[in-house]
Amino acid sequence: MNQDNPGRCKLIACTAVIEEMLPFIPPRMSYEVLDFGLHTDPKSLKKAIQNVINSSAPDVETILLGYGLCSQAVVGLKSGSRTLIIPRVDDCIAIFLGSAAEYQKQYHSAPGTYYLTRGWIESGDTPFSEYDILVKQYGDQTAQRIINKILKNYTRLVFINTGNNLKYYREHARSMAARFNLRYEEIQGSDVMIRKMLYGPWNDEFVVIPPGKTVSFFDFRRNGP
Amino acid sequence: MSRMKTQSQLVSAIANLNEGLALNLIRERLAANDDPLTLIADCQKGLQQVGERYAQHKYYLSGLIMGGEIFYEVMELIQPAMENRISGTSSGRILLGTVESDIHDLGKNMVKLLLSCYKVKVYDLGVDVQPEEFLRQAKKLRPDILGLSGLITKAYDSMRDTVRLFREEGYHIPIVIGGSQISEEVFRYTGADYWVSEADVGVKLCLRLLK
Repeated sequence: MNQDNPGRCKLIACTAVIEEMLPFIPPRMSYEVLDFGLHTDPKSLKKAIQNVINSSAPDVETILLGYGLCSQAVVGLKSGSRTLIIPRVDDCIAIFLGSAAEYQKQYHSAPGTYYLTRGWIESGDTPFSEYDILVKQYGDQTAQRIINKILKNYTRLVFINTGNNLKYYREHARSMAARFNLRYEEIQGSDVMIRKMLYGPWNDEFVVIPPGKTVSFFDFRRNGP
Repeated sequence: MSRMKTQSQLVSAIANLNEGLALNLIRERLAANDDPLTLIADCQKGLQQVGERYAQHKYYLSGLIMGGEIFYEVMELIQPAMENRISGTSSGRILLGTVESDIHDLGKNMVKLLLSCYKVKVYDLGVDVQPEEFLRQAKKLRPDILGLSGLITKAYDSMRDTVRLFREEGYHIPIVIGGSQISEEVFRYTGADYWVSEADVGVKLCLRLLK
């Protein structure tokens, strides 16, 4: 691994995560962005990430993945001749909140929470952004029936505050909460995990996969089988 | 119209999320005394295509939900025919729930619906169910199988905690975990007895275990 030489590191992240990482990426570090929509099919996401790993420039020694377990899309990835660094988190909400522990705390307080960030709203891939399409497709009544089903057990919508110029996104999140009868809350995000990922240290908050190894589910669960 | 043609029409109607057409075809085939299990199998083929179209980004999440909704409607029509077909009283009891920290229940509800067609008594504890609650209800209801459902990765920890609690308490019962993203590794992690990643496979497994 080469923590001191960003030129030999490459970052791979999805559109929602890269939004929050861009201000911190070291000048010589290369990065590649993958479509957020790939999340709907973890197998396609895995294939896409593996392709980028395999086709990285020969001088890249370390690959940083801006992903968590993400429906196990990262499980089965092969490091090849590089070292892979992956945040030891279930999904990117923990990355935005700064740690897996903070995400766990949020989860315990209200499991039925829909999280939004600037990046997610930008990606346009949320049930809220689907609603208007549904109305056109099936009419008001059926659209309402479907959205009620999707959000049935959700009680809260959290907007994660990840920085500046959020007025539009905050208002969007707030109006979605009101429209779909969810309790609105804003939580302060944290760039701690993003900074650690880009600059180190890669402590136990990160899964480190040495060259020639494959990512396993157990890399994310240290308490073992 | 030939049976083959109506079969493929039903599969397509569900794959295309055409609720009206799907329900009409079900009514026609029930009137023609078609086997309800064949109808369910056709619907599942249609739902499989819905899942494939979702993976290919041709449908949004709402497409999956709509597919599920059509399936519920279909099952309501089919249920009386199923009940006539399967004679006798309850053929077993299952305690089912989405585990703690997870609130997703699409798969669980489908399993519940399908099992009830086979006269299996399903006790559904809902979503975000704590391990202690599963154990308390198991002691009270004495089910034959415990079914733990979950979609998100956090659910795997709750499944593991629940399995551990049952084992520690010496309460022996087959424990099945279910969820669309479950894998062999997750299964090993949780310590459960069986795992399934598709609702219909889960139903077949439970029916086999209840024999």
